[in-house]
Amino acid sequence: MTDSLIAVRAAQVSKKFARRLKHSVRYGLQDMARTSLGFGRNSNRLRREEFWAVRDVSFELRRGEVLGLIGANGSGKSTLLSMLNGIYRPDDGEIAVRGRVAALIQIGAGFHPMLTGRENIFVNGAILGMSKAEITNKLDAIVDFAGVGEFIDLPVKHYSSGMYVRLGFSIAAHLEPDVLLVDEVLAVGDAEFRAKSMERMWRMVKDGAVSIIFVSHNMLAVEGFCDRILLLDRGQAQSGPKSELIARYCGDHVGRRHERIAGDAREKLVAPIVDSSVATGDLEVRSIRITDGHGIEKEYFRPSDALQVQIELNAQRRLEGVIASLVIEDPNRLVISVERSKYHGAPPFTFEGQEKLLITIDPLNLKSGAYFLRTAFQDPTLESVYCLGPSTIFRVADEMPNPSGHEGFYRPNLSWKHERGGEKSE
Amino acid sequence: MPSDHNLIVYRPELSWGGFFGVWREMIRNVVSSRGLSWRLFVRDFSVRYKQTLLGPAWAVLTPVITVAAFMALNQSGVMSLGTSSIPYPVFAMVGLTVWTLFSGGLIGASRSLVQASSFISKIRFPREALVLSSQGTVLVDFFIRAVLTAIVFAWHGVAPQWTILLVPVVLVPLVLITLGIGLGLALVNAVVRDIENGVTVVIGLFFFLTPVMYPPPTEGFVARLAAYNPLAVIIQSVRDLVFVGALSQPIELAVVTVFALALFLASWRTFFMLESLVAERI
Repeated sequence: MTDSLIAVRAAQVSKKFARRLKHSVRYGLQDMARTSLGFGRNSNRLRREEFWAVRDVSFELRRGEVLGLIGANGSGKSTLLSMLNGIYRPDDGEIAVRGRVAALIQIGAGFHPMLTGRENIFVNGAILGMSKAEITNKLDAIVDFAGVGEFIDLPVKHYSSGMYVRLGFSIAAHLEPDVLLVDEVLAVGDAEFRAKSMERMWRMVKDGAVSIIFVSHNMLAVEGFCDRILLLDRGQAQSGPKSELIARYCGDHVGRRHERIAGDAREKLVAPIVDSSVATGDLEVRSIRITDGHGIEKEYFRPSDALQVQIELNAQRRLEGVIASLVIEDPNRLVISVERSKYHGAPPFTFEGQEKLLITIDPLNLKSGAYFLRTAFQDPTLESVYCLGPSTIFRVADEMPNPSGHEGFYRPNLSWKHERGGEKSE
Repeated sequence: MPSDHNLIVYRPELSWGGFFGVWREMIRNVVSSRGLSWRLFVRDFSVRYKQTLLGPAWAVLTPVITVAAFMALNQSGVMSLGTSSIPYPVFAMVGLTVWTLFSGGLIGASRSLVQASSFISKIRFPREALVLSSQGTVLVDFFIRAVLTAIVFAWHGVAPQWTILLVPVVLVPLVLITLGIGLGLALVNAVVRDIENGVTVVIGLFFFLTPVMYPPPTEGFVARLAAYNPLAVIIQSVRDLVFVGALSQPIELAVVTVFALALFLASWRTFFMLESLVAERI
């Protein structure tokens, strides 16, 4: 790697894991024995019960660039980050990293609960590769940024989880790395700190000081923050234009959700499972456009605007009594609204051949943010699904300030009225 | 010419440019992690006696109880500890202090990686630092026990020979053996946890098979074993230097020292070659 503008280069990087602990133990001992005796590990071949967690991933990250890594759980994002961080050795391919790497992978790893925040700063800083003098110099800045106040001299076991994360982030952020690896960490901590840490990362990037690899399920953050995106799908990488990858990921995501690991706490928050394979295919969404109330395509809306979805459909056979559903989700796939045509007084639709359906929301009443919109078409009993439409993104830009960064989704039409005297007025 | 010293390359197989390249890299690794080892030691040490009532007294209490137990066994005739001109507590404290440097060091080293598994799998740093820092608390315990031993000497009015000053030299092979076995066990323990339990059992067994609490027997199974037991040679040499003033087994000690050095170097090199395979299995 002679080009000094490149911060990270991955060439056909692969990593395999064993499916069961039993095999992992056996292969681990085998690999250790082979390596220590000077034999190769033949790591580029799979053994029984092994699979590729990351396969043939290649990319280059230039200095000052932000690369987003997206993909479903288990698609290999964290494994890839661990390899870039030098924790896992690749089983095939090669990774070259220039300069100091800091990973915000699991913040506060290595904190000792019995030690005070101040003592932990020194230990954690040393683990991350800072010298004592460097830590001493930055101590005030670290404490100040973490905002833990007088708690700094208390054992961290008395910290709230938010304070814990803030201190961990603050240490890593003051490492002045050349490459920063960020994995979903900002999902914790309060809104104010999230905004503060995003802002700090953003400033580091703008100064051209750091390159970032950013893993997140928050598509809004990924879209706004990253220059480029890599979509990981079962260990393999897809590259392309940002919006296309986000849409592809979100589209895939819905169908694949049933494959995700059970017990995922987020699962309870997201939409009821809709499996695209259950669709009968009698109906097909040919195109979906998001427009203003007059049929002109539009991406950004104000809360008071009207939004019209125009869907072109193709029915394979004559379908009677079709019920349409409209789903609006936030970027984390949290369902904001599911509306069915039959409860809105719309007559059941009869589709045959080419059809067009218009759904109008007026006013939108949503706050700032990116939203995903998708549709479903079902039979009158709601038992079978004819078709699940693709996810489409639209954005709302709210003219009102949103000081905490997250104040819900719904912008009601409301008015404020002050009546003097309260109870006195009879 | 722009230097590329800060370029790190990760490949499936390690290559450090030949046999000597590895040694150079190994030394660089340890040198660069000395600050971290110290930090981790300070951390472990400062939390060691937190939330305890007796605190550092534990370092004194354990050997006192062990020695007292052996004295009780001797007195009641269950076990014969032989007769010696040296008062038994003095004799036993020397053996026990040296022994715990080995046993404590070995247990600490073999657990060092697994105890840090939560950040081994998250942060990259030289894993040697964990093994090294685990020896720190053991050394502190050793010094506390040495002071206790000195008090026992004074109490019984026994004066050591001047050659006691050479004891640290004899302890070097002991530390090398401890690290030599400890580095290997730490790695294997990261993959198979049997090591942790196994080590405790085997050390307990060897405690009785090695003349730690009793004078070396002249015949029988233990005597034959002691001839091949490097720990028996080292403990005997320490006693020679403390009580006699001359080594009784100089050749054996030389052999043990060479063995200890070879074991340590081989083990250190293996550890260095394998440490990057540990994170994914721990």
